Amino acid sequence: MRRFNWGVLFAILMYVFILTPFVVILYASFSDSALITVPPKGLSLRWYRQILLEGRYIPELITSLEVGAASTLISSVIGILASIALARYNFPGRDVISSILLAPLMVPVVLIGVALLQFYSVTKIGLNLPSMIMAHAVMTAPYVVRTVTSTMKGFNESLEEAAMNLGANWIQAFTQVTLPIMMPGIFSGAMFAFITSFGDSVVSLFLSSPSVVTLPVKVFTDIMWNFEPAIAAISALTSVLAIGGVLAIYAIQGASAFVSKQ
Amino acid sequence: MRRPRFSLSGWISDYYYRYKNTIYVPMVLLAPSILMLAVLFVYPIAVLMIQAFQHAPTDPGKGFTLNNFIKLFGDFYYFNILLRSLLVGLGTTILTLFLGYPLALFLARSKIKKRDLLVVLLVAPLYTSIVVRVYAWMVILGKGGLINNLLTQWGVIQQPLPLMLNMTGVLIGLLHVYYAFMVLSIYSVVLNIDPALEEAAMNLGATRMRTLREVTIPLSMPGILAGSVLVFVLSMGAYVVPAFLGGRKVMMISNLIYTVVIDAFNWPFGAAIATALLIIALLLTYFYSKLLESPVKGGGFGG
Amino acid sequence: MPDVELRGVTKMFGKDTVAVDNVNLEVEAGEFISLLGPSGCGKTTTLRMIAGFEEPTTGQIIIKGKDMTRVPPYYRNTGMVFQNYALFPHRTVAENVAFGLKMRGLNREEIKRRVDEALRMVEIPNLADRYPRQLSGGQQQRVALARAIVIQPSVLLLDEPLSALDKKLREQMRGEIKRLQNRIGITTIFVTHDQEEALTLSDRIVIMNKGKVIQVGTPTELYRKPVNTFVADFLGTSNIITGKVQELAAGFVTINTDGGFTIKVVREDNMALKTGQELTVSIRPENMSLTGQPGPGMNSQPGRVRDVFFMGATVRYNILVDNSDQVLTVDEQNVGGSRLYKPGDQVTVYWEPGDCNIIAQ
Ligand SMILES: Nc1ncnc2c1ncn2[C@@H]1O[C@H](COP(=O)(O)OP(=O)(O)O)[C@@H](O)[C@H]1O
Ligand SMILES: [Mg+2]
Repeated sequence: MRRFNWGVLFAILMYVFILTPFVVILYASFSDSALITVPPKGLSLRWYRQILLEGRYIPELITSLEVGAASTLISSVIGILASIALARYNFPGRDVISSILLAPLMVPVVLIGVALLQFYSVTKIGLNLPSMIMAHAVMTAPYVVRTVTSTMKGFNESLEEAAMNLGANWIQAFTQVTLPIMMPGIFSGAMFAFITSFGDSVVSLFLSSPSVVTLPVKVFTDIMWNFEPAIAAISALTSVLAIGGVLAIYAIQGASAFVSKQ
Repeated sequence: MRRPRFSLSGWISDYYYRYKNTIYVPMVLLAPSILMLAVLFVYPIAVLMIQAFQHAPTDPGKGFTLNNFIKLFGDFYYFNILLRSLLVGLGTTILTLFLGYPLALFLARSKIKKRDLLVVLLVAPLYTSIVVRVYAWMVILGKGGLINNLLTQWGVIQQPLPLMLNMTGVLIGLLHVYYAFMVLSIYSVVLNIDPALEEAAMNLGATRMRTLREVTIPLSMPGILAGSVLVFVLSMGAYVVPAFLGGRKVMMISNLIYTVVIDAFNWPFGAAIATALLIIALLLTYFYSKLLESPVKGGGFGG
Repeated sequence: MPDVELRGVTKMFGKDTVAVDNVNLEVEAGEFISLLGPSGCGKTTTLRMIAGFEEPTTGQIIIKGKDMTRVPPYYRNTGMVFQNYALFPHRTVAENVAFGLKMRGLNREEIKRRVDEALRMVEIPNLADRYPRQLSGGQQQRVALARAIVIQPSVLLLDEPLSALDKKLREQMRGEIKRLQNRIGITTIFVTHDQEEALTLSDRIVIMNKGKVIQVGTPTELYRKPVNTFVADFLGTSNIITGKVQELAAGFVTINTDGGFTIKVVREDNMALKTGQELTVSIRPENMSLTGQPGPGMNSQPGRVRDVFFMGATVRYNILVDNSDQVLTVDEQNVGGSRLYKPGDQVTVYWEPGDCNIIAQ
């Protein structure tokens, strides 16, 4: 007879711990009262109606999507350019430059928040959509640089040379051969960038202004001042989308999109 | 082949090719990112660090001063917060390590078919906002939350247990947020340990426990170290978790910075605290530069 | 006018590595020329300079009469087959082959017509819609060839195209490359480190070593008249015998070898030699014979069989010459009834003075 497998039991317990919060907010989001209780006294779609029909949280959602998309675009473009240099060229100071480019990953985000708040105030740039976008680009560019550099290092350069040999100029070879082949890597990098931007509350909290309130900041302040199941509903909505998205990518691309096996 | 009529891509390509083997090409490619980080990261942080040595509004004077740092390390209230952040960081590291190692080992060594799916399920929560995760824990741990409700209903307790707005709440929250980082750091290292080494040890008569202690754990040290530094730095600088699950009683350094800067508008003092946090983080990562090779590709560091 | 011309081409990597050293070469239109040499001798670098991926440190590269030395690869119109084929994994076979034609702005019908024709030429018209990963090594090879020839390049460049294939397939593809090249008459530069490939395929072979061209010639020239021991040894096997000139006679020179015996070698008229001069002589194993009796002819040396290698059509013997440390390698045809010797047998090695090749010192 097999021994009782304590490993499986332990793993099950830890997964319950990891996933329960999401089940709980999903459950709580169907509450019919204004007071959030689990288990809820009665079930209703009231809070979803508020969000989907009355547009509660929608402006902030749009702001977050705008900031996420714009900052991801910026960090992807400049991150890809930087990755070409880091992956293909050997020049003095490359390691230093590479660690500077990855540095925003290593300092607590609160520092980026305060430092930029001060910078934007002192320089009179002020707090607005572009300044929020650029802050997020700083925060997310390292993800693109890291994933794309490692993808680019694994890219067989003779493919690009083959394209040029056939008459494609360098830009054509890069966009028609190199980029499409590296797409999975670029996609992961951009996805991490977007998710980081979309989920960020700390930098956004420091840099938020009446005209620029991102969704996590709105949720943050609502938790402080307005603790209603509507928060659960919007949280459940975004989490289901995020986790669903992760599972969908897993189904298409496998686990390698999320975890690197050195 | 005939040169085609002028095209922008051809023009750029010709320049790229002419200077391909010179330092100019990487310089041009790196210019946008270096520029962005210099202006929006290095410079603002440098300015902040300089400001840490200026006089606070509550402490008028001219020229540079160390008063902000003296206040941070000399005033028990502030020093306490700094110390608490370090202790919470340490506590989170220990918790994630002890609860994470067995799971990492299980994932790396078990022969179940859907192992990748389990790994992805572990990572998936990192793709949700920390605010959302902390909110969920408030619903679970609060006075009228899930746990207290159930325990009261079952008659286990009469009074609600204080599960949040204290250290317990903070540690549970941080454990949940940073658990995956630790597990995956260890997992990716254990995965690359040849199982034959463990089999060899057992073949030589070592027990399961002994093999773990003398072969597996020493070989997974790189993962343990990487995960520990990562979790320590991240949890020490946590903001959202202590803000909601700690409350006023368990304020941490990031919350202090926010309060000092936004509420009290004391920039020099806030800058001094931020500088202290930065130096601790940099020292730690300097001594463990492997942090860069974190196996978790995405996941918000913010918190 | 040669199709491809290298004039004093040198390529340095960094300050110390001389990958290609002052190479001069003219490749005539329609010629099949091989660059042959050991690994690291600069063959790939030479080819990459012709294609434009590397720029010579000094020297000129002229293609179809135009100086292409500093011209980017995409204006050169060369067709390259890479060592690992470099097929675009995200495009089908047809799209791979069409790539160069699209870049040339041809219209859709013309592209389709030429892609079909090229695929038919390499005998894989039925694989047009496959992706490279769905192909075997030999099929990938054909796609790479089709992709390179479909653009009608000034010169076809092949970098060890057969090295990734197994032996049988390699021999088959070798034949097909040769037939294809004959049929379309395209100027071809073929890089290989495999002497057999070079000998069977080429009109001319360029032997390279340490970045330098050592000898250029037809396969027979190189095989019969290697200019130095490197070539003699690299192309097939040679017996290298060193010694001093003992006596000069009309048509013959007698050499006192370092192994302590004398040999007679045919002397070409224009060869200036004087008594006492040091000489090196190479003789192919297949030009030497064995007999059990005391030797006939002008060159015969008694010796003892040391090794016997049975190689199928031939048998190779290593013979230690009596009272000498010279070992001679002899190939005997393995025809029915011919006698096989055993190690230890006393034999006589003999050869014609005309089969000896004097290598200039
Ligand atoms: N990109 C490069 N950087 C530095 N050295 C190189 C580079 N490419 C080739 N070399 C060196 O140049 C020499 C010739 O290489 P190569 O042309 O590839 O030889 P082959 O193709 O004959 O094997 C080798 O010593 C090789 O190490
Ligand atoms: Mg080579």
